[in-house]
Amino acid sequence: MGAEDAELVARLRRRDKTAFDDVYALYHPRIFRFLQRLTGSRQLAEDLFQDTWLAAARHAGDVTEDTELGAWLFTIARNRYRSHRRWAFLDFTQRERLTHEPVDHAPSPDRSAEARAEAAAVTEAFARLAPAHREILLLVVVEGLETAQVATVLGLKPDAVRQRLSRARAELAATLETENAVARVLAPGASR
Amino acid sequence: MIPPNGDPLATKLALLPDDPLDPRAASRVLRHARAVLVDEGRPAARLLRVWTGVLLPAVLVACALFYTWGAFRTLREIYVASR
Repeated sequence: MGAEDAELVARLRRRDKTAFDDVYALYHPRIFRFLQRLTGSRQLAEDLFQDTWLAAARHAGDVTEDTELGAWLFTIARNRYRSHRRWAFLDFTQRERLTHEPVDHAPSPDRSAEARAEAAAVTEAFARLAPAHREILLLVVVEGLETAQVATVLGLKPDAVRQRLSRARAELAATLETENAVARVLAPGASR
Repeated sequence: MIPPNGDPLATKLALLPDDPLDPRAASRVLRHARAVLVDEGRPAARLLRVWTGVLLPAVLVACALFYTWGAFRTLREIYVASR
């Protein structure tokens, strides 16, 4: 943990409002991106994002001196998502959504058609992964968290993190490969 | 976001949707969170946290133990009286 983070944590423990503002400015874009990609739904991500920061504000005074802010916030966000999934599983009307989470495709208009198609394929393949695999890929590959930090977020040992990451990478590669194969078959002009 | 660093998987994952939160929504969340931060710092909120986190569970466990002890005592008295 850097000296800057340690100082922020110390101020946060005193429930210093400006410290909370600094933490928010530093981490809110990453937390929102993580939730948006984890859930595949902007609306749900916005709800969980708000829950995450309200929980962070509620427990700001309880953080320990050695708390890693990034890991702490990603842990809260991930727990909010898991809690949402547990409740949604009890709701029969949402079960179908959980088995294959819908994806908000919002490709940026400045991308070429090919790039848009590729982005859509990756998004679709990513949404098919198990939630445990999605979260570990996001934390390690996208957010660049260290293995020890990811272990804290997921409540796993570092060895288990490495194993899960390896399985997640393999699953995503296989899913992408399958989607590419299907796309090649369905592409106009494909040999029959 | 961490640059892909030549990792093909990271390059692929960089294609996932990344629409930043609307600044107005971000400010709204911060305002709510700040209000919670201030509220939770008040002595009454601290007392409530201690009550719900420590005292109430302790009272419930004490009640359960007292009830169990009373139930055993009653059963023993019934057993002794019936002999």
